[in-house]
Amino acid sequence: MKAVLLILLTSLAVLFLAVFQISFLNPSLWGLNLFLLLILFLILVKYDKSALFFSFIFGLFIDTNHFSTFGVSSLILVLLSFCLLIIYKTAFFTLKAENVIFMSLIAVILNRLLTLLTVNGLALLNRGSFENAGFYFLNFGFLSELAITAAASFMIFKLLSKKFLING
Amino acid sequence: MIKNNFLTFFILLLLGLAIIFLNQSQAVLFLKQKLSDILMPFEILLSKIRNILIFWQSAILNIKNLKESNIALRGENLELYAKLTKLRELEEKNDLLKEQLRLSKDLTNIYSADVIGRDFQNNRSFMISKGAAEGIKNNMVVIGKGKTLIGKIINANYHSAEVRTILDTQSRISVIALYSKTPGLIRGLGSSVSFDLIPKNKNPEIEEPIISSGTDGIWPKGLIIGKIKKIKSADQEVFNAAEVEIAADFREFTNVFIINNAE
Repeated sequence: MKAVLLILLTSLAVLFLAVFQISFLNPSLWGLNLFLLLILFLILVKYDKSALFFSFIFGLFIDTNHFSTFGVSSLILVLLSFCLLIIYKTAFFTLKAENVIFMSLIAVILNRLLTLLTVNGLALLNRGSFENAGFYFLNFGFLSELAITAAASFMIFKLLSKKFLING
Repeated sequence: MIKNNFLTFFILLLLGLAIIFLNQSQAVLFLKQKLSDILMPFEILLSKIRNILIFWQSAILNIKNLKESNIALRGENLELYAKLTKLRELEEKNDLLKEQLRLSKDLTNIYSADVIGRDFQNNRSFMISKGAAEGIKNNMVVIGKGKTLIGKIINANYHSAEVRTILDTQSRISVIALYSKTPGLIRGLGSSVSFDLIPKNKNPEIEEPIISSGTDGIWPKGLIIGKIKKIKSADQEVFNAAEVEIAADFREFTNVFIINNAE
């Protein structure tokens, strides 16, 4: 019974998060990506499998309203989660505040890089068209996303520092 | 532990690839349709809340402006302001209805729909509140106020539809510069558009409006794209090109019109 309730609540939370991102945050140019933040959070607190699983689910929700082929965002987010898991386990080890900021910056850059590579890789297979790197990196949106993601993840971990941070 | 994660990653990776490569299969289309249908009512609700918040935000800014002019004019009172605010609200509604009526006279079978969801940090696609159940079909043309071209429907769900805008890199429109009658092609660059394939013997002017020519058989004739900002000419190139200032403000509109161009 408890497990069913937990699944139901998690599904509702994911649904709310998806709708909030697509209909509320995306129309503004703030650059706050809640999905990326949550994946990052799950990786940093070592919920590895949940991070991978939710990446896939979030990707499907994003793809209902994304310019690329359906399934591409899922693929990119799963790849991103796996890369972040490896980076975190091999390079950072601990949950210090500076590590959290570095990880969030890496997450944003890697997300855009993987999107560029995946979309162009699929274009080679005649699934979509080729994209210019400038669209992903040479714009104000990229800088604002870097700043906002780093600030938001730092604040989340500062708030939860007693529970998660070793040296916050 | 890492082995276990690798297995999960590998399964999800395969699943993702399967969804991409079986994109037109019944199962994937069903999944996409169901996800859109689940999200749609919440998207409508949240986009309405957002629009109300933005309305009040601008209303608050207007209050400040109006207060300043009240001081300067020394005659108007708060009651008059309340009436003006109400009038402005009615005026906006009236403009929208007039626009819809004018468009309906110009073009047959026009649908109006609200924008309920947008893509992250770009204007290449967005979601509208009408779908196949309301008569929306793939490839229908989407326009804004003043017959400005916005894009076309690429995926009509049951009660919602996805619009690909003219900014998308897959977008191509046959166009003509209004005064010099220069033909060419508008190509989406992701965040802007380019006016390509301009013949060397034609000399379009800066600020000259560009409209769809209808020669591609996809986009109806006479829809406004924007105006020429800068002409790029190089001797080694076969054609000239131009930068374009797009007429539609992709961040601003909250509702659009869909033309049933099939009929």
